[in-house]
Amino acid sequence: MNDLSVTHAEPTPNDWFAKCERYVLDPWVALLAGYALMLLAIACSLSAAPALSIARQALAFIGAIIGGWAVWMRLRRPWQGQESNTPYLWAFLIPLALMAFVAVETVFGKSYEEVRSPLTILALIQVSACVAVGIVMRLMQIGSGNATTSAAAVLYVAAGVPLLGLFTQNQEWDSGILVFRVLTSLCLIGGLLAALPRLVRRVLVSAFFVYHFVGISMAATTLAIRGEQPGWLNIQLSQHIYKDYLNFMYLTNAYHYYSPDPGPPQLFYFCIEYPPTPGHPTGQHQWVSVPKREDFRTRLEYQRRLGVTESTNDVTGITPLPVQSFLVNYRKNQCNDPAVPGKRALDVENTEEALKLGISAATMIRKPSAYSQAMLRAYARYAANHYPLLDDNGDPVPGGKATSVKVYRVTHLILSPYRFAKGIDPLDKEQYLAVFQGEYDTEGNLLPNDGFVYTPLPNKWITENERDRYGVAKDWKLQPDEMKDVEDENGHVTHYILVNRMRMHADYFRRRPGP
Amino acid sequence: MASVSPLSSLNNDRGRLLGFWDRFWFKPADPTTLGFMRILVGMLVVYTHIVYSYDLYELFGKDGWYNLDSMNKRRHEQPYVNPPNDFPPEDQIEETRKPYVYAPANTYLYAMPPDEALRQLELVIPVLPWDSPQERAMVEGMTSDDDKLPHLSFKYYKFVDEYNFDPRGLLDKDGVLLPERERKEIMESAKMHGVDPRKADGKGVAIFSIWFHVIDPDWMVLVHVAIIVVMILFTLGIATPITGILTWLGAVSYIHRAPTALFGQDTMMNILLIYLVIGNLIPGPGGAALSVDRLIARWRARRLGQEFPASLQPTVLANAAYRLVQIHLCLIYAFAGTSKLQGTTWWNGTAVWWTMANTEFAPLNRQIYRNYLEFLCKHRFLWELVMDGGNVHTLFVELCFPFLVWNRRTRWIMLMAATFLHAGIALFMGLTIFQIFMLIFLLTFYPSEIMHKLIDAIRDTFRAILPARAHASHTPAPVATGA
Repeated sequence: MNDLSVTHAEPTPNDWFAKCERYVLDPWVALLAGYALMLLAIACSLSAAPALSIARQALAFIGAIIGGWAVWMRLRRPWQGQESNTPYLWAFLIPLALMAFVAVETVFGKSYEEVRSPLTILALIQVSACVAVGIVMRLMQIGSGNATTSAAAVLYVAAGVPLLGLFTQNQEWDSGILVFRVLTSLCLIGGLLAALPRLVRRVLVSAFFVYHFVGISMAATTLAIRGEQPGWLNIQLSQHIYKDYLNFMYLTNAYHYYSPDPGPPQLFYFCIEYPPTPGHPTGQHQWVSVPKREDFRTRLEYQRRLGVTESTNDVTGITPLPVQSFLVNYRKNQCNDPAVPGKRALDVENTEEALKLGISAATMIRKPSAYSQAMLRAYARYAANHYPLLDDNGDPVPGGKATSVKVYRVTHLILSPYRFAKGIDPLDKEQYLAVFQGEYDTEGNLLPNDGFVYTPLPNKWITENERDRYGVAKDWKLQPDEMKDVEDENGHVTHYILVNRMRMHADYFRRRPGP
Repeated sequence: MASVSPLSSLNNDRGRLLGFWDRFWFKPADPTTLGFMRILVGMLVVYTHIVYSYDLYELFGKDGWYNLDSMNKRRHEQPYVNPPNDFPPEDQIEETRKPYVYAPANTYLYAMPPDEALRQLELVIPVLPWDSPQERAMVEGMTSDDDKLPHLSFKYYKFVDEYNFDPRGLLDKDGVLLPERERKEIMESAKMHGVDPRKADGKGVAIFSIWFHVIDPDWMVLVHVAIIVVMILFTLGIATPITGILTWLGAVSYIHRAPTALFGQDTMMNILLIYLVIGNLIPGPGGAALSVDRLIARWRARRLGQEFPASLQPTVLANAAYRLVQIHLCLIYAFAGTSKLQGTTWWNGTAVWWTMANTEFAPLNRQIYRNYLEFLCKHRFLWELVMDGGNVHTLFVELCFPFLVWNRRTRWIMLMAATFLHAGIALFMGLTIFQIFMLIFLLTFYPSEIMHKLIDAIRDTFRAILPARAHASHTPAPVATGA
């Protein structure tokens, strides 16, 4: 049978390459280099100079890579030999004690900060002990009969590299701290697994597989369904055992695709307000819609923006009924403003139109959850700061920094088969149902409620004769795409105008600056 | 030598069950499919991250869509609340829901006499959301309790509306308001996370990302390019175990930093990367399958005058990776299918329409597709056939795949059905990369002989184009010992 192991060939007299290769492929040399780099990185961390700060991170990163290289160099060689029951196994029980300590501390609810220092010290002691064992074994040139123990020794010594890496990171780089902790734990666990008999190893690995898939099931079964809380046991398991693991690995998805029912997509329309300029003493505004397909080079970018808008579509927030009642009356008073008769068009409550869209008094206020509200504040801040006012040539206008932004979450309704068969355009403006999400300042703070926050503002095509009925003011300026002529089967042409309530709201409720 | 389960000598039901488990997870398997998956996944991962280049600052920058301050607040402070250990009394409304319960007629606080309600509300006057100092002074100056109580009560509900908790929670045990700084922290946290932070059992989310820390635009570009280079190295199979781990760390960095810009594709990409890392952690002698590592190992062996295995050695980790992918796919289908059963459209056969006519996803900008849908809509029976057929097909795949794919007789039916499902989603919903990832999941169910034939065919094609070199055909090796 071919010897499949990669052995160290004796270098030919002038073969410098083979000599170099021996050192490069030797895991112990790599470990030494890893330790040296980490110690150098720790030395750099003692200074706050920016150049040394960069050097510290680079050295820590390279040190970790070299530590990984060392592990790879050892594990890629055949490392299964006779099952080891040598006294060295006792040394590898130390990490068991360490892990038991961590488990006990976690069960008794100690905060992570409280256990951090003793954990680090214990880990340091434990890894030092294993490093000593590993070095002794290396010096004693353990043969292939105890190959698993040799592989375990490398892993244990390698655990010291990310452990030292912990001391290269300052508190701000908590991501680095987290990753180094995980790498240290993985090396320790890997070393233990390598040292154990195969049967025990497979039992432990099997236990991990079960743990892993139960965790994935917990992620999928801890969603609230129709307002009902998930199972008690599921939540307990998720919170106490799986939370950190699933979050770290990004295995928190519930896989509820297009369920319970496929829904329409969400878009954002921002109405960004700008301060007065000499040519525009009452200020200007700009409409920005996100996402627009033509703005993106690839479909993937476009789909990611749809994810951004979708994150505000969780309307499970609750408005206390007294506040709801107040807002209903406040909104009605706002719509009946004798100074601005056109505001009457914004009152959609108790209309046939509202009925068709499923808008009722109970569903008038579609308050987002706390999470979605936080997203809205972030997005409003972004919009206010990233869309300067542009002139007709597309150049930024001087002094064109935004003062506030109105946010509308627009549901692009899906055409029913009936309407599709009638040839209605899926991009027809009546298919865009806007819900006002509030007006925000440039820091993302929600400005006082004008009565319409979280309420729908549907569009509607009407005939000229219906203007009064829908409260559309005679002086309301229509845009070119808000007018259309439709010819029926008999050749009769009817002129339609669009009641664009979103644009009406933005215009009628503009916070105009003083003279 | 075949891997012998230490349990197979047990000649009883438990022994057979344990032996089955041992063979299922730990029997060495041909890593060729793993190598093929690595290349396919790697190419998609590289493409995905190259596309990120256009939105690097908008999605991952300090002042991006989800700005870094908000993200840091969420990952450091997001509270979580454990459910109570005992069953709550059924005749009591949960404390946190009480503020939302409507107290009729007099807008008092829930189930409280007016004078007591007024006394309690007066304690929290300073924190209530007053429109102006004048308004507060006016209400405080009211002498009639009948006038004062409704005003205070309304402000109470406005506080609850904004901060999601009862303002009386800001009183200490002596009924005195907490210090202002402490109050502000509590209110801000409750507004952001929807939970009074003092009621939380813990806070923070254990996530990491290089983009939490690298915010300088120039350094962002440098790090971004470096990550893409590492991903290319992983695709090519250079230092596969190390570049695999780095690829996963890099990919998850993007995921954790921009959680709002994610969708199913990122979930699948992450799952496949995790299992590819596991499968490639300890490649067999000669390096990972279909990798540059293997080419280097072959060159080294020639140089040192050593034998080099002509074909790949089966490994235990390759088998474990396949099984992990298979089980995970079954879980995905099971959860996706069963969750659909909650919806009405999946029962009445219209669900597929709401995906096919979704303007932002479906190719409705193409006239031929629009004409096709219009034709269907004008012929109801045909419409129902297509939509119901799609409905049933989707539910059939998702609900039956986890069970029927394990049987040899039904495996091919399920694989074909799943392939059609994902092809349909890619075509009609534009989620192409997402569905390619799903098809890669399915590769683990195909016999490795098919991979060998495919690779032989590709190799033969290249041989016809490139200068001929002596290669052995790619055939599986006998089973050998693994880790």
